[in-house]
Amino acid sequence: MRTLAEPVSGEFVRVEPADEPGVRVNGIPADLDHTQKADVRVDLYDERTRAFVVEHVLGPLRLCGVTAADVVGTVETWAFARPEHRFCYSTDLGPDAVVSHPAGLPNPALADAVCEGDVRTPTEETRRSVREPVSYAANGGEITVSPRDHGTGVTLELRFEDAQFACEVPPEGAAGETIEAVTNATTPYLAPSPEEGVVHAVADVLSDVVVIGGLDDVHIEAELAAAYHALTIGVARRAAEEELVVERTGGVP
Amino acid sequence: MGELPALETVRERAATARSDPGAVNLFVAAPAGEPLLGVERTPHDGKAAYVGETPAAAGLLAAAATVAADSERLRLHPPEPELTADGPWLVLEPLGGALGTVTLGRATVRVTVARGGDTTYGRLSADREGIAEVLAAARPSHDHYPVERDEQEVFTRGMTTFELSDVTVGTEVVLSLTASTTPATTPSEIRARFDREAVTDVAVDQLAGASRADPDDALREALERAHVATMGDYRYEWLPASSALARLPTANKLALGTGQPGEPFSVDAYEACRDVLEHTAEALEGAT
Repeated sequence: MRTLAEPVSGEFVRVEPADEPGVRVNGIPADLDHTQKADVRVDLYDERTRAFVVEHVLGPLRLCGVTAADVVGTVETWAFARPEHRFCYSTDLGPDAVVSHPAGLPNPALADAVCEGDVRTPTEETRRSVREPVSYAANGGEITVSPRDHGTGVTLELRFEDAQFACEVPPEGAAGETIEAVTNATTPYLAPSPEEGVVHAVADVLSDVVVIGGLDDVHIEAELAAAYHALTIGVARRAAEEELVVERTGGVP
Repeated sequence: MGELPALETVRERAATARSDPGAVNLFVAAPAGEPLLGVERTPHDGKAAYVGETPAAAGLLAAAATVAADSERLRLHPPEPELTADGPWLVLEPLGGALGTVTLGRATVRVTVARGGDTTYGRLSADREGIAEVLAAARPSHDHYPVERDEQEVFTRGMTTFELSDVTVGTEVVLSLTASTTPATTPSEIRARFDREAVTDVAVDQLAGASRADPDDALREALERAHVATMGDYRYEWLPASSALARLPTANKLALGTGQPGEPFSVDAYEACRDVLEHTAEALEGAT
């Protein structure tokens, strides 16, 4: 388990160290049980509280190797052009329920702050993978998640339209240039090119398959299309529902 | 193919629905005041649908009447509702499956442009430039979102937007615009928007502010759960100022509904709305 030594602030969120594995956003655990929406964005839900667009926080945290954290939204002003802000206002939630960057970036300032901050000494943890390759298709896309050795982390091969991007995210975090490229790439919905969109998608896929889906040591190969969170959350759900998730303990990765 | 009720069946169900005292009021918003007028049931894109003048109102009434006929916890109102009725209100509008508590506001804006130029051609040219400057200021713009091609109003629904209603040319050029306003809109923000070189005056008349309803928690929760059970999730969207929700003189109200304004109302939209109302009625009956 890797967590921060001290709280850090990114844009729109503050991230605090956690004593338990996993990430919580405004108190809601980032796991499949609490995932309410997964199509053009991912929302978490718990007892009438909702956290919006969490993938743009969960992705950069995992890119930086953080596996345990409490994320707190810090936005105080309304931006009603955003559908999520209109949703919040409609239900008496504050704008701090939306934890994403308005320009559709995976919070580069948060990644900078986490990379510059110290992490506590990592502790042994149970890591998860899949017993065998798991595939899923949705909204015109396809994804396959395959097992990797304990403690080796994640490799990704993503395609979006004519563009493709591959990278590695070991347990201690991705290379600095990968983190910078991914967190400064705009969401495909707003990106000027598929080349930028596919780089951005690394954060989304990590968020959904690795953080929310809880699969730590896997190879992910995906052909992404529209509303691809249905695909990425979908494959994680399939792995869980078909009992293909395996837990392995031992050593500090 | 699913079953879409015949219009006569809808009329009968709407006329015979009975309710308990204190039931939740159910009202179908119809642009012309009569949901079934000029509507027929016919296949559309391979599925049964209501088409015609107010297909969404007809479809929403069909769903409401079907459920209200079997539930005493829902009181279906006629096209002219009894506005003083006790209890919370559910307003059915074609919201594409969303819920709604917020209605946008409305303002009129008169932007005055001074006439310039020494010749007729010069004045016309200056008029054109002044008008173009005002219209450019009226167009939505955003640092991050493609609002200029936002046909679904994904972003512009939450922005202060303007529609030109009149241009008068006399000693001055006066452009009248109708503004759709949000809870964040202020007259000073509107005036600043038109603070352009050619503009000599901006007069803002706020006709109605944006407003937010405050429905009972139990009712809202029942509706959200009904949407999760039938559609997998719930979402909220804002309604235009002309919405029937805005006309109800109570805060205890909420809008919902499937279908889109002016489009054929399919059997799928009917069944989705009916299922949400059935789940909601069951939750309300379980709570009594």
